[in-house]
Amino acid sequence: MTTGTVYVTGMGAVSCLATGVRPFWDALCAGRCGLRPITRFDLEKSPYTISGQVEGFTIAPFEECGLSAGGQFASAASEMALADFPNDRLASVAVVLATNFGPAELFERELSLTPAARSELAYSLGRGFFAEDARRVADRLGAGGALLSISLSCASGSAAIAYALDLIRSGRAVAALACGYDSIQRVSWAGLAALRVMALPSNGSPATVRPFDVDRAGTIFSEGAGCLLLESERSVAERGATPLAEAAGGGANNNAHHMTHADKEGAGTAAVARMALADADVEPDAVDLIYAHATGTELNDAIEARAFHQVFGGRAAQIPVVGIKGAIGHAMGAASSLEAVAAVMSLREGKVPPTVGLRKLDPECALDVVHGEPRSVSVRTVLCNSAGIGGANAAVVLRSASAPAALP
Amino acid sequence: MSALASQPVRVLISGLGPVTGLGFGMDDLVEGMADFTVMRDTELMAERLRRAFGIVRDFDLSEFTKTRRPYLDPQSRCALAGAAIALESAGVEADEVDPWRCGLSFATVLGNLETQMLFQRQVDEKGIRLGSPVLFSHAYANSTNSILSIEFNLRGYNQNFCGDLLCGAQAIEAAALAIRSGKAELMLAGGADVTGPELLDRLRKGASPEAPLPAQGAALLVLESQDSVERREGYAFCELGAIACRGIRAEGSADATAEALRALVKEVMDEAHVWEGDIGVVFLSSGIAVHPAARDVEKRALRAFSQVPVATAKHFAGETFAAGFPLECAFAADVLNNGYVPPKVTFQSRRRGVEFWVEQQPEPMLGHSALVVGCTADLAAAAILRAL
Repeated sequence: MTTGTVYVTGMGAVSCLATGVRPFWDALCAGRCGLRPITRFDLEKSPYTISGQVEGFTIAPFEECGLSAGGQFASAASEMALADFPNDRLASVAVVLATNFGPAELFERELSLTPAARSELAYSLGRGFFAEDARRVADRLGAGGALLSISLSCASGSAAIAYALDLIRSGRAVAALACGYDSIQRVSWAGLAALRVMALPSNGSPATVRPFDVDRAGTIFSEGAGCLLLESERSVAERGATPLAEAAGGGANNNAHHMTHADKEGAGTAAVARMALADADVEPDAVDLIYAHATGTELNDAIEARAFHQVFGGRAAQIPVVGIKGAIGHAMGAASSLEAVAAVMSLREGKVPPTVGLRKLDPECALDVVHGEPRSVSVRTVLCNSAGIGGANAAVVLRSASAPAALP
Repeated sequence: MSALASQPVRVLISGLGPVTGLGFGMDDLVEGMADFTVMRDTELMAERLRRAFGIVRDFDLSEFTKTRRPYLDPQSRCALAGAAIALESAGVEADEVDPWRCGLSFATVLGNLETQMLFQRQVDEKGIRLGSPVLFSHAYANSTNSILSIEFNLRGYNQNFCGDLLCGAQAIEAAALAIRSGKAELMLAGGADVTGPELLDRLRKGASPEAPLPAQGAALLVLESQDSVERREGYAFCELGAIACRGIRAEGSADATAEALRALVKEVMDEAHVWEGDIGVVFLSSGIAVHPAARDVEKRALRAFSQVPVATAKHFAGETFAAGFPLECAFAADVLNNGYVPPKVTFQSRRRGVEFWVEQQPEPMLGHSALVVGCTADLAAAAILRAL
């Protein structure tokens, strides 16, 4: 199906660590942590008090801006990605939004027992809440191509990149925004807490995410948006743009194992990595950096490490691996999108940020996890791995960009 | 024209799994539609019909799968039934396919809304610390996708679309792309949207009086590479010659939108290597369900097919949201497989109840292909299905 190279030509990031790609990247490399106490809603004595709320970003009330909180994150990240994209080409840009909970706070109002709360909403149940977010974000951007809303739980961001890539390769789009987003809201927080996968305070210290650490005790959910603008080789050449990286391959699958229990063998994780590598026509030996899902939960990190050993064999322990959830938490639908943004920065700058929170590597996760300080490495091919509840997996392969072919 | 035209992989439709107010499977759908064709009822009968219209009858899931699971969201239960019917009609045996090469591309406009509502009410009543993890994990928009994957051991390529009324078309397009690109050999593809009485009533109150009544439905298709069908010596209903979805939001005027839809139809026809005379029947998925302007757009865009019979399952099954486009594809596949023209039925004012009458009796179909078209305010979708 492949018809030419697909490039990443723009990026955007909204996170608890920073807003804007450069500030986000610099904060990651500085080893900063953006996790803080929740202030958005009453926690009602819940023991889970820490999250990654986006700071330095004014969330306007829905009644003023007509967008959900998550939609505002997605819109801001997408605007960043389109900063250098010509306005006269926007009509052809497809928008692939990816999220776990979409306009969660508006859903809460729609499903409330109080008709008054519902009647204020311009969102319509029948038109689809996720679709409405996508429609409104696209309207704000002026993007007129196909609209897609993908929801594959915490693998959504990578799944969106993989599908945007398919749309361009198949000739269905010449440019596509792949944007993962989510916001923290009361009801979804209650659910995430109920899953009991979040870290709690320990020995007087606040809750922390410790990916691949021997003492890891859970993840911490956060919010934000990450966006990649993907573009066909021809479009890049026509407008003389400078590619940031190549979106080489992607894929998504399902463990078909259990709704909430992980498949301990990691077969699904290994399979989706192989699917993405095959899609990129890349041998496992070519991968020289891995952005891991690395949630900091006991089972998932070990399973992910096991899967990497299945895919990369003896090389698994030599490939640098990084997890950024210690710095930004688990941003759900935005998680793998923000990881992809960081991966592109690694390709461009030859640098890997440290895995914040990791102190002592778990022997069960026998990987070369970069921690402590950022590491300078020569990176040509990155695998970004992600997973989500319900057994969803998605992976993306990004490569250093060579200049697009000249137009005939 | 897209690059897929040069691809040698033929995508066949080998299984059909509709679940609607008319029943379960193609036989129920076709028989249910036949019943409608002799119906011209009184106001009283029409009102009774309106209440039951588009409502999937109570059923025991163990009729279709190994276990009953009454606790599941109604959307998940109907999707499970639809998937089981589709796979059974395809004659797929678990031991003759590689689960890593079998995937799922699923769509839902509304998600598992009933379970989400239950969870929210539980949190509102008991507090933020006492939400049920079981309810929450089944309230995700991809819960049904996961339940289907687990039930049918679909470990291969997977996508989950939650867009507008045409997201079911996007799911089928993604499945076809996955097969043609070699990521999968067999894909279960389609959508489902099933809400309970309270939410359905709200949907119906909010719907345009010109549109078919919001209803409950699931429609899953089995898409398969020709190699896969041949290897397992299976049967296919028809070929999916081409399918494509496009954004039409930037087109502005009705003329421009109609032109964009016309261009999309031409694109899929080119891709499928069919011409206008090959089209024996046109199925409309959503134009009439939106507003008169969309109907007008479709009319203009499809002017070249003015002599071709036009049909839609929406007259019989209502507006089934994400299941809408897949349901039309299932209907089209059955028509092509059996070589008949479906009856055209006029939908009259919903305000006065429901009235239908037949404008045309079934007759042999001319042309070997069907065009399925859908149009919303944001998207256009078109598919060509070809008889084998």
